Formats: sequence, structure tokens, C-alpha cells
Amino acid sequence: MYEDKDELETVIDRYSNTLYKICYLILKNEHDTKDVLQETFLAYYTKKPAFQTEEHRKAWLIKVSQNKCREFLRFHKKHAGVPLEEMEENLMITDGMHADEIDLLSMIWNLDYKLKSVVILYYIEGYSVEETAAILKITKAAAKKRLQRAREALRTEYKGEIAYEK
Amino acid sequence: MRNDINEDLLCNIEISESMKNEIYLNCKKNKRTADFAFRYSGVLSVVIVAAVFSLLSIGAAAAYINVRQRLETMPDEEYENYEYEVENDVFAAMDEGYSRSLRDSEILRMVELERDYYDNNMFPDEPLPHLETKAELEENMLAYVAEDNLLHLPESDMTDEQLLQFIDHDAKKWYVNEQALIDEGVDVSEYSSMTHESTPIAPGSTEEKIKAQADKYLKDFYGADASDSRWELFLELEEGDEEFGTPDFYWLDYSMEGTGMGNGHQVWIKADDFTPLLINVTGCVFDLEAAKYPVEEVEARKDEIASAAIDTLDELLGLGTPVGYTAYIDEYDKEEGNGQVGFLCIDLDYGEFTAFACVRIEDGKIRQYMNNFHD
Repeated sequence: MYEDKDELETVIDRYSNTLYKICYLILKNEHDTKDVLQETFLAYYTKKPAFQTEEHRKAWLIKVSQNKCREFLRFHKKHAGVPLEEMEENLMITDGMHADEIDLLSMIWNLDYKLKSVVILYYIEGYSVEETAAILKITKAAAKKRLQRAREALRTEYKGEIAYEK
Repeated sequence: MRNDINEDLLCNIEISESMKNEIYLNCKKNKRTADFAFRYSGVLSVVIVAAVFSLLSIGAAAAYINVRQRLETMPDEEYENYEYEVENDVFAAMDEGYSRSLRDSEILRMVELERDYYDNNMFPDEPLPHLETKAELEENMLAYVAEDNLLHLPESDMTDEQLLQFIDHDAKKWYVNEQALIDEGVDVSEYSSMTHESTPIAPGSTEEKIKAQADKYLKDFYGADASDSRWELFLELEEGDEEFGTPDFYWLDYSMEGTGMGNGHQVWIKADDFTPLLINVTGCVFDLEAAKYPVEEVEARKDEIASAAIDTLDELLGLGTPVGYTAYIDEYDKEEGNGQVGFLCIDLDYGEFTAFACVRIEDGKIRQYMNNFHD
């Protein structure tokens, strides 16, 4: 696969933006996000896993990056409570967004990791409950439960109407 | 305004070309991140972290006090050796810092010895050696070598003494790192969320009946003795969700101190009729103990294995015969198992509801049963 181009470069080109969005939303700062992406792609480069499809490759990269994020958060809980509005980068993150959208992003931003990870994979990346569960290595029932809790948390915090893509 | 949770919310979060390029170049050079977060990311570190901090939070066990005293009274030279090791530990996963991977048999034995180490003060006779150069290594020696910054494991399986040295080494390494964090002003008590605290259960209460039922399920499915006093049980009532079709149910989490990765169970029981929604063995011991079989062999035997599992579910839960089922090997098991797998998945359709079972091929024990609610 990718015979005409450096494979690593192609994979980084293709998937780094997706991983960056997911990991940034979880880790909440650029420096840590870059570290996690580097560790993820380095694991890919050194292990050279074989995949039947591109979807498998993408799921593997997301799974590895999620493991790295979880490990990271275990030792960096100091980052966990920083609200969006206090982040220096927030001007760029919310640039051009409506106030309601900023509120919604802020609430997702401040969700607990366990809830946020399923929201990102299910609602934003469009994975099914089964796929979300497989990527996060949790049961399907646990993925459903976390989605339910996330929605409850968002409903409690957010006064407007929340519509979901799925 | 309509607010969707979708990818547009993250439209401004984009990786820069310069960062992509930097990551690419670093990967090509095999350059690792040097952040602390990646120093302690291995499975075994979870054992140590869980054990040390859960014991810290409880603080009463005499045996633990002796472990703590042992760490606090480390000789200066040994402490400095560990400081050096911590300072130079930049591995993404803990076993990347070893000369070879831990073997399943070693991990299984270590789970047992960890309990002896933390609960019964069973310490190694000698501390793990710290050597300067690889030339100092002797045959089948366990030692940290500064020259290549690796923990060298013996080619043969580690003996109990070496496994205790290994456990002791990790406890000391964690302790030294913890002290460094404290010196930096980091509040290490933040990690206390990793601890488990048993839910108090009053005699004759609904919770006691729920626990008795859950214990029975674990006994019937795996032969697990969940009444053992070493199990800590977290129990809470979870309210259902109409949209996802989840009923009210009790969530029971069983964990055993000092065996962070070794043992664990989860049981979900419907609040109205005490039937199980989930029975799950989550510790790694069950996985590691499972014999592995070639994928082709399991594919050929999958109907036979599924049929036996269906009979077991009928016998234990009275589910009857499903109107249909699909037996398959999990894709991730295939990818990770080097052509050998220990478990078979079965999706079951009972008409009014569907269920999932994961069967240990070796003996047909069902390591996970899950009622899919409404699917």
C-alpha cells in the first residue's frame, strides 16, 4: 500500500488531522496533543501493523491514540479541569463560532474523559456504538451507558436545544 | 439556533503543516517524547499505582506500613540509583524498558506475589542490582543496566526471588518518582481517584440480596468465589434510559487490592427482577490462563463451541434456544494474537432480545455475557 510515496508520510497526511482534533479535545493543549500524536505514529512506524482496509487502519490509530491519551491523563490530572475560556488557544478554537456553539463546545471540552471519548467517537467521528466500544476496549453496554451519561450531563448544563447528527 | 454535535464544532482545531512535518521527522529518527506521562504507562505500572495509592488511602494495614517504611528507609545510594533510572525513563510503554517482554507465566505468578509483597511483607532477600555496564551482567541475572538504560530480564523464566525483586524495583521506582513530584509541588493525592472503596452493605438490605445474586452468577459462570473478603465491591443503582432502552439496574464492580491487573468482575443486575444484564470477568488472569488455538482451527470448531455455550446459557439463565446466532473471532484478537486466539464471540438472537457471549475456547467458560437490552 502507498507504494509511490513514503508510507509514514502518507498515513500522517491522511490521519493526523483527525487524531489531532480528537486528542486536542481530550488533552486540551497543543503540546500534549503533539506528544500523543508522535507516540501514536511512532508506534505505527515501528510496529508496522498490517490492515485489511483503511477503516481498520484508521480505527487502529484512533485506538492507540486513545490509549496514549488515557495514560497521559492518568498522570496529568492537573490539565483535566481547565475550562475552555481559560485556554490561551481558545481564540483560535472558537474563531467565527456562534455563542451557542462555543457554549456547546465548552461543555464537551469540560466533560470527563470517559464521557468525552465516546461523544467524540460516536457523534463527531460517526462510529457506531459497537465500533466505539471496540476502539475504547469497553463493552457495548458500557459505551451506551457513557453516551447516556454524556447526554444527561450536556442536557443539564446546556440550556438550549441540542440536536445530534446521529 | 440549531446546535449540532458534529465535526463542524472542531473546524478550527487543525494540525499545522509544521507539526505534521516535525512528527514525521521525529518518527523517522525513532525519537520518543520525553514527557513524564509516558514513563509509567505499562500495564504493570497500573498494578503498582493502584496498589500503592489504594493502600495509601486506606493507610491502616500493618503490612502496608511495612512496605511504606521499606520505601522510606531506602539507603541513599539505592535511592540515587532510582533517581537516575526515573530521570532516564522515557519509554512509551513499560515493557519497552525491558530487555525482553514479560511472559504470561511470569505475569500470572507476579499477580500472586504482589499480594504477598503488599499484604504479607514478603520481600526479596536482595534488592535488584543496578549495574553500570552490560559486561557486568551474569547469566540469567535480573538487573538494571545504566549503559543501555534497560532492565535486563533473564533468558529463563524469572524465579520467585527475581519476581519479588521486580515488584520491589517498581515499587521503589514509583516511590522515588512520587517524591520528585512532591518536590515539584504536584499534589499526588490527585491520584487517589484510582482507589477503590467498598460500598457498605447492611445485612438484610436490597443491596445484600443483589450482591448474593451477583456472587451466584459469578460462581455459576466461572467458579469465582466472590464472597472472599479480599474482594472490594462497589455497588450503585443506575437509572435506565428510555432512548437506549436501558432499564434501571444495579452495577457491581469487584476489585481485589494489590492485583490491579490480575482480577476484577463486573455484574449488572436488573432492578426489577434481578436478571443479569452483564456478567463480565475483566482481570487479565482469565485471559492469560486461556490456552490459545490457531484461527483456522477455531473457525472450523465455532459452531460446536457456540452450541455448548448456548446450552450453558440455557442451563444457567433459562434462555432457551436462540432463533439465530453468529459465532466469530474478534478482529482485534486476530490482529493481536499472532494467529492464535483464546476466545470466541457469539451474537445471540432470542427474538425478544439479543445477547452477546464471549467464550473461552479451552473449557467453554463464558467470560462475558451481555444482554443487549432492546437490540
